Amino acid sequence: MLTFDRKVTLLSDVYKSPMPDFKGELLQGTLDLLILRTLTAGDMHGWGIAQRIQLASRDALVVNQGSLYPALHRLEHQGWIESEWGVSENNRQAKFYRLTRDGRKQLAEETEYWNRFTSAVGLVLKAGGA
Amino acid sequence: MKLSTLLRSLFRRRQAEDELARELDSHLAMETEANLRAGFAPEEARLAALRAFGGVAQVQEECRDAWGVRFIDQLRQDLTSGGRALRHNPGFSLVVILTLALGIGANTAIFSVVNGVLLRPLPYAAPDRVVTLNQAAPGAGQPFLGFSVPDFRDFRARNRAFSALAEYHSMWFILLGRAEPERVQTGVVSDNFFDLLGVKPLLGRTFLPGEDQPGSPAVLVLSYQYWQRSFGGDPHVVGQVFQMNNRPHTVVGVLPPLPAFPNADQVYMPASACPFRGAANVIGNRQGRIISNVFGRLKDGVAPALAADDARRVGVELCGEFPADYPVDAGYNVGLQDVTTAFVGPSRTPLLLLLATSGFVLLIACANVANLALARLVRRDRELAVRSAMGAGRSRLFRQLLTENLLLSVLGGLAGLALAAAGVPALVAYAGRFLPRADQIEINGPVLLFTLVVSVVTGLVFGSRPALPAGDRLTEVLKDGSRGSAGSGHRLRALLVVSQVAVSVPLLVGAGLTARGLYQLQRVNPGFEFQRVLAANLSLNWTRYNDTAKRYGYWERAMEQAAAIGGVQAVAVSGVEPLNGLVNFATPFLLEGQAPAANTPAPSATVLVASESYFDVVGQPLLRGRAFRATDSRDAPGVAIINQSLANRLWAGDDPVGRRISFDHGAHWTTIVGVAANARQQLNAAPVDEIHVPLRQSGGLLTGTVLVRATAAPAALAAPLRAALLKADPQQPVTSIETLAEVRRQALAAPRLMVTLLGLFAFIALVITAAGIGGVLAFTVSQRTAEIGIRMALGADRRAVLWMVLRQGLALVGLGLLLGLLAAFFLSRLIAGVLYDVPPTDPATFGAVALVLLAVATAACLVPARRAATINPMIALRSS
Repeated sequence: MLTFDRKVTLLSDVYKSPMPDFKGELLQGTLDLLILRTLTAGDMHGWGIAQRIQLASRDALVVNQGSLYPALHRLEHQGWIESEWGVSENNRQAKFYRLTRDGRKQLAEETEYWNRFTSAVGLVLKAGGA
Repeated sequence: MKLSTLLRSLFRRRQAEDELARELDSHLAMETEANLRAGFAPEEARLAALRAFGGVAQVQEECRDAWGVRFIDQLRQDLTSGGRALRHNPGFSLVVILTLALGIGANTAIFSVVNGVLLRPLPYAAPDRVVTLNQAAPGAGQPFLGFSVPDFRDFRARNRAFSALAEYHSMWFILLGRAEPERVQTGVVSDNFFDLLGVKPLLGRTFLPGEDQPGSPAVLVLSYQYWQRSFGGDPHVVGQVFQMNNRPHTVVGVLPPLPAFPNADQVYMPASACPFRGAANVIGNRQGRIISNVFGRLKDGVAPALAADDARRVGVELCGEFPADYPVDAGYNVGLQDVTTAFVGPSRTPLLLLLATSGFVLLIACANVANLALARLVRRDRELAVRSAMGAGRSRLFRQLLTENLLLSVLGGLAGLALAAAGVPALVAYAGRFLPRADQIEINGPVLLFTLVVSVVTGLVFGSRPALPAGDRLTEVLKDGSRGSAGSGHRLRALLVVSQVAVSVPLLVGAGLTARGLYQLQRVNPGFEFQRVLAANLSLNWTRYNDTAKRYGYWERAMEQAAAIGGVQAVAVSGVEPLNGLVNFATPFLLEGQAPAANTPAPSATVLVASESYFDVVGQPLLRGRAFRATDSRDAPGVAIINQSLANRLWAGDDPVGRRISFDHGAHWTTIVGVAANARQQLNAAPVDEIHVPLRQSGGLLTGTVLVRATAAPAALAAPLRAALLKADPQQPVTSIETLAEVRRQALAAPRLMVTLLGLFAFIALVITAAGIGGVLAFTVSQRTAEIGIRMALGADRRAVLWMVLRQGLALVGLGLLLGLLAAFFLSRLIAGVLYDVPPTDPATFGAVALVLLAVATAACLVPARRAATINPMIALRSS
């Protein structure tokens, strides 16, 4: 089971250093990918994104809710998503995030990369098992 | 990166913070609601939401990180909290800032001198390609021989390494045509002099090709300083005509500000305008070495070493071709120096010594501050632990401490800059007389940059080690609230004290050695009784005093008038002012009864002019023979008085009185009538060989000194003497009036400044080191209060406790002292050149330094040791 706990965000510091740690990059990128993918379904606030990821992964992925926000702010900062204040389904003020054009392109690239990466890992694992 | 978010987060900071808080709030509310729906109790629903979220403060921090203004933001935060921390601890801050201000201030002041004198390029075109040539004849005792006109012509024609050679010498002339006759120092140069240096005129022009040829009309170029001071910067000065040397001279240009090299010339004239340089017997005479400096510009691609070889080759050729003018034993040779070295070279060693010294002072200051910061850090353990628990990462804490340190060091730098700004003008005013390019010393861009770099580096140096205790310990500290144990920090502090002492010792030794040198120099008996003598320097107006008889007439009248002043005991006239430090060139002469040897240079000595009562007035004893008399006139046979040094050299054991010498190859003979005791013309140089000739037989002095022996304090006679000299000739200006004691004091000014500065630096170093030792011991004592209390409760008496602390401090001092003495033993050789009559390893100085340091260190250790000894065991045990 993959969990996104505090370790992920600690490694995000490493991610920004000149020599990225591969493991950190992978985990970091994974959360970003999940957020971008989730937002293709429409505008969503942070809590909603967390619920959605959990639901979509059939509860296999438990996102530490707090770690979601730094990722959201970072993605917004990079211009892949944008935000707007709105009213939630329960009539509560919430900040809604929307995928931008750049975000869609990024998502396509990341998905492509992710697929290639997982199939490569899968091949290795299969070969190792044979 | 999205600029708008960056800008928003920068300038709409509060709104961004607000939004973040609202966003996270809204999230928690939604989660709580969801939990309520899932059946949690209201209390439990909120807690579960918080648990699922993680630390709110940490998330906020990480979000701010994502905004990209983290650094600026944190800096601002660190500065604010740093400023607060410093204000909370004003004693610590003040001590640190003051310590650093002393160190940085000293470095800034000395660097501004080094920058102005040594580093700033001379205002010539490509100054590294300009060299000066020098002919020397060490065998004849002449390190600076100069060049004759034929020499210069031959060097110009035969060299292959120089694109141009220019000649230079300097003379004093009287310039007429202004309200008063003015005596001006005049550079006499070849037509290409300014072109060679690459100096463009500020107004008008410099000299034209051919303007230095005989028969050319006389022209003048004014120096910037002279133009400003005497003409008030009048732009219409170009074209004005003045009388000099009985000829009209037209001003054709004004120069930009130039360094006073080789001399502080006020005007320049081409070679043809100088009556001495233009005389036929100089132009054709290979021994008439009137040109004091030859400047050369290296051809493109020619290395200085190659050019030196080339100049040497020409010199060897000339020696071979003109053996009569270059006696083999004189050891003629040609040397080459780049113009910057020739100008400021002698100042380099003392200035670099001062810079190194001030650098050491700063190092010691850094060690002290590092120690203070270490001690303070231990006391801040809890604060740091709390900060860490509140979400500050380790690197964040490190950065905060570093910012605090930088804040301190920059504040120290600013205070140091203020110190330097106050000190530099005084330094320049004092050092201007003996330091070249003193007018270039200022606190300018490069100096400010230097100060900034030094401040920041200082902050990093003293701030780098004591940054943080180990991370794991932070939680521990928070848990049990215990005081951190000294541990490795203690070892580091001890090491810092040892190095402080070790660095202080060479500084103290350097200061001690130079001080001893100055003491020796002050004790030197120059051979004059200088205490009650007043000297007036004059240069007669060449055009009015244009023959020997008129000049004698003036000096006679001057002596008569001066003798009439009340309180004057005796009056004399001499050619040079005693002790003025000017280098006098040796004149060769023949000995009667000795044929000049072919390859041996003739004996030579400095020729000085003296009136009859000169030896009485300056108190130089006559050892043999007689003084000059009024009857030693122009028509009488020539006479001379030599000094002991020359007598010993030429007639060792024999009586020289009655022997005869000739200055003109035997055409006229001069009889030695007396031997005077040795006297020094330069305070720091051994007496040279001297021949005194009587004023009446001297050919008349154009430049001379009226010397007055007073019955009481001579300074009071200055005004009456000036009045008396004006009575002798109302139109004759007096250059300067000063007592010989003042002349001597001026000769001591440079070494005294050196001693003052080195002593000041050493004193600062000593104080800082003492404070460092005391501080570290005091800290140790405060850390060990409980332990000492136990010892005392178990029966240790106060004396034992005192000794225990003292021993701990003195062990560090002793180690540092040993290392420092060893370092000083090797370093002091480097300053042997600036020491007068003191060996660089002078045992007395080393011993005195060791004693002083031990005494001061013991005193510094005693304060905390006594505090330890007065600890009340009951209170100490209860408080722990």
